[in-house]
Amino acid sequence: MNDVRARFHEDLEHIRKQVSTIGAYIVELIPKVTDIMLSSDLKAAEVVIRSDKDIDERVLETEELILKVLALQSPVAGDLREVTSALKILSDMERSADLACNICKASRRIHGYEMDPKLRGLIQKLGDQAAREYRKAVTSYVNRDAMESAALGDIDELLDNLQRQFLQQIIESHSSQTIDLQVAVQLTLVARFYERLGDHAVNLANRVRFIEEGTFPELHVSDRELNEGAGSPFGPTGTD
Amino acid sequence: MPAQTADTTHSEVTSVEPVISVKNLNIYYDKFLAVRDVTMEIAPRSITALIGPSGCGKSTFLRSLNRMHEVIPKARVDGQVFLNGEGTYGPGVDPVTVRRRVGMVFQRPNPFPTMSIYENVVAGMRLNANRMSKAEADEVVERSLVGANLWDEVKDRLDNPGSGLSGGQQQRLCIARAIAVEPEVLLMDEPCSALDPISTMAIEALMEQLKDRFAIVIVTHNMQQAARVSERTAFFNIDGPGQPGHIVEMDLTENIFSNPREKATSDYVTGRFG
Amino acid sequence: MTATMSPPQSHASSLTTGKMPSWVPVAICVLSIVVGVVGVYSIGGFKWGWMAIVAAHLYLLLVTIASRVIEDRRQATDRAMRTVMTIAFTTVTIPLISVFWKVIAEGASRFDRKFFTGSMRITPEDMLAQMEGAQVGGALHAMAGTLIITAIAGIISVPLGLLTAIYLVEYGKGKLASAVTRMVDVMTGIPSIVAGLFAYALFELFLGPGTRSGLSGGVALSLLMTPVVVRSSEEMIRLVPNELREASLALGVAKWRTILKVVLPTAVAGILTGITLAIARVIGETAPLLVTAGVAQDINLNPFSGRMTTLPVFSYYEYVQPGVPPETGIARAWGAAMMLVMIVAVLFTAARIMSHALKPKGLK
Repeated sequence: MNDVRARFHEDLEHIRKQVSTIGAYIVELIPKVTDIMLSSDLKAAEVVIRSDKDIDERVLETEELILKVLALQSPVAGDLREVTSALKILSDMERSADLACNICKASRRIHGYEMDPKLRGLIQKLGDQAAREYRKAVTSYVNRDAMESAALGDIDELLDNLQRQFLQQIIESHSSQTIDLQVAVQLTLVARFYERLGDHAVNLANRVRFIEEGTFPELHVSDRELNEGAGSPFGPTGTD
Repeated sequence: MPAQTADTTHSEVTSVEPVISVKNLNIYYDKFLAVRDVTMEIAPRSITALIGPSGCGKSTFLRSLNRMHEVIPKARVDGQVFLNGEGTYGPGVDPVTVRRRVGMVFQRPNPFPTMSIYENVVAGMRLNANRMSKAEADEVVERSLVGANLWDEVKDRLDNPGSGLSGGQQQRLCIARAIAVEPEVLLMDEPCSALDPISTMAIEALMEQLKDRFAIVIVTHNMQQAARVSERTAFFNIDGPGQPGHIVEMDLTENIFSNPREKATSDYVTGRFG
Repeated sequence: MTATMSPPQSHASSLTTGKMPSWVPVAICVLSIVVGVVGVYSIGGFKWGWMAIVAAHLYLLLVTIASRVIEDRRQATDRAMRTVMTIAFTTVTIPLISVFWKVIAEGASRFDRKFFTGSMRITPEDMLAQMEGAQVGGALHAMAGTLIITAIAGIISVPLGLLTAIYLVEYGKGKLASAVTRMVDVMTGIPSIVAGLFAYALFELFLGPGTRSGLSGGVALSLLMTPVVVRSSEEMIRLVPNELREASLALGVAKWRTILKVVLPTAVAGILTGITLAIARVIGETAPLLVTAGVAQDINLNPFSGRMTTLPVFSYYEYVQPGVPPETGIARAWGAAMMLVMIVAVLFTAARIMSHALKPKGLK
C-alpha cells in the first residue's frame, strides 16, 4: 500500500477508536447514574454533569477528523459507510451522554425523597437493561459483529415493557400519595431517559449492520411509539 | 434491498435493447489469452466505465469492441460481439465498417498534423472519399465542433493547423472528429490522462452532453472520474502476471462505490491492494 | 577581473571555482601559432600543414593545463574536449572548402556560352583554333545526358523504392519482409561497376552485344539508387507516430487510404530529402556509365539507342584524352566538374524549399 493510503487507514482506525472509547464510557456511565439515582449522591451527580463537557469536546474533535478524511481521501464503499456512520453514531452517543446527565439532574431534583422499594427495583431493572443493551451495541461495533446487533431490536422490547411497568407504578404511587407530583414527573422523565438510551443502543446496532452489510435494516420503531397518542409523554392513560 | 445474485459477471438486464452485447468473449494474442470470458451489455445513451489495475485487459477489451485490437498482428477473438443486433465478428464482416459505427478517442490527442482544424473534423468522411459539397462539409464541421464544445473557441481559425491548439482543445477536436461520422457508440481510452484538471472537467462535462446521443464506454484509471461520470461500472481484474484479465463485477456505479458485492472490487476501490 | 587561484583538486565543497579570464585562451592561441610558425620554419621552411599541426597540439596542451590550474579538473576536461572537437571540425571543413574553391576557380575558365550550348562536335576550324589556344567545345551533350539518365534512374527507383519502403513498414511482418530487408542491405553495398556490368549484361541479353544506351545507364544507376530510397523512406515512414495511423483506422478508414492520405503526407518532407540524397549519390557515378552509356560527342536525346555522355564521364575523358593542346581538355574537364557541382547545389536547394513547404505545420 502506498503512503497516502496508509495515513488514510490510520485515520480510519483513529476514528473507530474514538467512537469505541466514547461508547465504552457511556456503557460505564449508565450503571453509575443508576446508582446515583438510587443513592441520591449529590457529589457524584455533580461530577457526571461536569464531565459531559469533555464528551462533547471529544465528539467534536472526532467529527472534525471525519470531515477532513471525507474531504481529502474520498473514501468509498466500506470505508465510506464507516465514516458516515461514525458521524451518526457520534451524534447519538453525544445525546446518550446528555441523557445520562439528565438522569443525574433529575436525581438532584428529587433529592431527599424516599422512593418505595417497588419503584427502586424498577429503576434498577431499567438501568440494568439499558446498560446491557448499550454494552451489547458497543461490543458489536468494536468487534464489527453484525450478528450480535441483529438481536438487539428484540431485546429492546424488554426495556419498553419495563418502562410501561414503571409508569404504571408511578401512577399507582402517586394515587396512593406515597410520592408527590414533582417526584412523579421527574421519575417519568427518568423512565423516558432510560428508554431513549435503549433506542440509541438499537440505532447503534443498526448502524453496525449497515457498515458491515451495506444495507439499511428497518429503522427501529418501538411499539410504544406505535401506540402513542399525540405526543403525550404518559402514553395511554391508566384508565384504559 | 437489491437482489444478491450469484452470477457476478452479468449486469442486470436492461429493459431497452442494448446497443452493444458481448457474449463469452475471449481475446487472444496468438496463443496468449489476454482477456477471458467477458459477457456484458451496454445500454444506448449511457456511460459505462471500465476500471481495474494496470494490465487487467480493460483497454484490450475496449479495443475489441471496434476491432482495433486487430492492428496488432495475430490478434483474434473467440466469442461474439453484437452491435445493435448485428455480429461484428461474423464471417464477411469488414472491420473498417465496424469502426465507422463505433468511434474511438485515444489517450493522447492525435489530430492529423497535415490538416487544418476544419480538415481534421471532416477527415473521417474525406479520407473515405465521401463526396460532400462545401455547404455540407461546413455544416458537419459546425455541428461536430458545437457538439464537442469547441466551436466558439475555434470558429474564427478553422484553417489553422490542428496541432496548434492546447491539449484539452486538441482532445475535443479529436472528439469532434470522432462524432462527425455519427457513430452509434463512442469508445474512450483514458481520454483525460494526458490533460490538466480543468481540461478534464471540460471533457467530463462534454461527456454528460454527448450521452444524449451516443453510448459511451470509457476506460479510466481515475476511479473518482468513473464515479463522477458513469452510470454503470465494470471492474476488471487480473489474478497474476501472465494470467488473463476478466470481469469481476459490473453494476450500477453507485453500488460499485458504496456497496460492491465482491471483496476484490471493494479492495480495489478502497485502495487496499495498492 | 582577476582569476582567483583556487587550489587544484577542490572536492566540490564550494560552489565556486576559479574562472579563466577571456584573454587567456586568446593569448595561448597566439603563442601556439607563433611557436608553430617559427619552430617549423626554422626546421624545414614554410610548411603550412606542419605549422598548423604543431600550433593546434600546442594550444590543446597549454589551454588544458591553464584551465586545470585556474579553474578545476572538470572544466579543464571540458575545454580540452571542446578544443579537440573544434580542431576536428576544422580539419574536415578545410578540404571541403578547398575542393569547392578549386572547382570554381578552375572551372570558371570555361564559364562561357559555348560551353553551355555546344557539344564536342567540333569543326576542323575549331580544331585549328584550339591549337592556337582558343577554348572550343562544350558540354551541353553531357549535361543533357546527365539529366536524362538520372531522370530515368529516378523514374525507376523512386516508385519502386517508395513502395518497397511502404511494404516493409506497413505490411511486411513475416519472412518475406526480412528477406527483402536483407536484400536491400546487400544492394546498398554493390560496387558501382558491378551495377554497370549487370545492366550491360541485361541489355546484351535482349538486344545483343555492344548495346549502349542511356536507358541502360539509367537502369545501372537505379540499382544503386533504389536501396538508398528504400532505406531513407523507410526511416521517415517509421517516424510517423503510430497514433496517427490508429486515429485514422478508428475513423473507419481503410489501411491503404490511411497510408496514402495520412502517413505519406506526414512523411513527405523526409522522403523528399531521402530522394534528393539518392540522386546526389548516383549523379556523379562514372564507372557504370562508361560500360552502359558510353561516350559520345554529339547531343543524343534518345535514351533508347545510341551512346550518351554524362558530365562525370565527359570530365573523365577530357582528362584522359585532352587532345591538343592538353590545357583545353583539362579546362573542359574542370568546367564539367563545376557544372555537376552546380546541378547538385540547385537540386539540394530545391529539395530544401519543397521540404519546407510540404512539412506539416503540426510537426515541429
